[in-house]
Amino acid sequence: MGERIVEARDVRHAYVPGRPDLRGVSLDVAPGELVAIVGENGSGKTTLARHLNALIPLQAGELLVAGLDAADPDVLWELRRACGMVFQNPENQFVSSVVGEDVAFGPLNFGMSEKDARAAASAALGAVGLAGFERRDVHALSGGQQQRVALAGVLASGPRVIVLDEATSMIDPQGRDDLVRAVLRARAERGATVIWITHDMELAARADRVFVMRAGEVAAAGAPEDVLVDEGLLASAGLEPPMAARAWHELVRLGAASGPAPVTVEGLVSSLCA
Amino acid sequence: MRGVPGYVWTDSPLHRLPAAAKLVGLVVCAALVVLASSPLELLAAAAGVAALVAVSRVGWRAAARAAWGLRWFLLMVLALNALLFSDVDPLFSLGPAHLTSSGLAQGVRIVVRTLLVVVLGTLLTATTRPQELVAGVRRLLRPLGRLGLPIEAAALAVGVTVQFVPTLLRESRQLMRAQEIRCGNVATRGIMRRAVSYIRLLVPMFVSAVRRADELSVAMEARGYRLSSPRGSAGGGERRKRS
Repeated sequence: MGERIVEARDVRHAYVPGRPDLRGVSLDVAPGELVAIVGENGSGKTTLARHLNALIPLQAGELLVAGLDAADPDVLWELRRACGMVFQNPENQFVSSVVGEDVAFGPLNFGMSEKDARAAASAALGAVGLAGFERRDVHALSGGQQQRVALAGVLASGPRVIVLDEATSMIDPQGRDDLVRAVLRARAERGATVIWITHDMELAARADRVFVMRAGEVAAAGAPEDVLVDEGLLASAGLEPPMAARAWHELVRLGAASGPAPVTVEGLVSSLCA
Repeated sequence: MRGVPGYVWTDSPLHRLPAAAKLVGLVVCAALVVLASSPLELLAAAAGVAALVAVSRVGWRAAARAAWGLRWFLLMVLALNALLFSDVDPLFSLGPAHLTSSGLAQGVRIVVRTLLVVVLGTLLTATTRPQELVAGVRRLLRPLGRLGLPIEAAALAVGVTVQFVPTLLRESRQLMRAQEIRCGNVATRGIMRRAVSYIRLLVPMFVSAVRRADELSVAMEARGYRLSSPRGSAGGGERRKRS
């Protein structure tokens, strides 16, 4: 791998001494890459995500995000600007009930003038498909719209890396699709690197690479077509393959198909029609 | 959100007034309302509040929404005062309860004062955006900053509290509904069992509020919030880049 925007080397962490939550995680992410980190509850996904934003101090190992050392307290705020984070529950992320003011919260914290912060907030809302929502009440929006406001709040600070920590788990399918579209658009237009922490295997199947977390370790990493079709590996991590791969495995068992399993519905259709 | 009117987007002299001035005005007006005791004084206070509602252009319904949410509580206050305030010259007696004209007058006084203060508070939040409110509190508390008090934290706490109220109210309604589904309608029970049912809600409400506050503090940190540095100013140390 050439240039890296995230480099983790043997990152270890324990909330309670003697009970490690991260047992030496190492991973690299290239600029502009879309990476999914999957794993069951308690596998260390969120702990790892919070290290990327320096929300959890590094206990052991080495972690560089956008060239900034997560162990260096002097670059803490720069690191947080470089690596924005969207959390699971949109309602628990808002500091203001007015959309525009909430989105401008981050830019103001990172030193933008009020005028620039307002402009950045409007641009970010446009980028997530919520142009003109500046004066809306966040509590009057749907869950999907709220999560896109949270994403806009991150985009407004101009991060190079966007971490989404189970950001689709509390919203409906339509809201999920809208959020995915907004993230992919931000990635395409801003060249942002996206790290998606998720249980959603259909979402993971759309990533460039997938990391499977198991008991605080990276159990496997690679392209979705290689990782998300391994039933044994996924079962050991408390997961199951995406729907397309499961359907393909059933067809193979019935003797109706052969060859590598697809991981997306589009892949399944083209494999069946081939 | 029922019972918690938010900001009303319109233009009025009250909207244009600085938040700090409105906060001071609220304290002064609330003090005047509380001090009003004769019917004439209460009438004058009510007329003053009505004039403020008219000037604010937020609409009578929006201004009265929070007060309407308190109707059962206020009715109870009125009844308790009317029946228990005095036992001199009762109009009607039932055991220890005596309905008296002085008790009735006291109940009306308290209810009217409460209603007017609630409407004043509603006017503040309906004409002041949360961030303006935060800025207003910050400005008013600034002199105390010289004594080492955490002004920034206090100001933000006000803003976050205002925006968290609808969420917590909705959650309390959900918890009440969940309790009704499992244990039946608490409203149909005796007053003691009803009180116990409500007390049982306090624990999950408290746990939920603490969890939400924790998640919010993490999200705020992730978005660059820090107590040690004023917002809107460049911060952070010198960039240390490593290959």
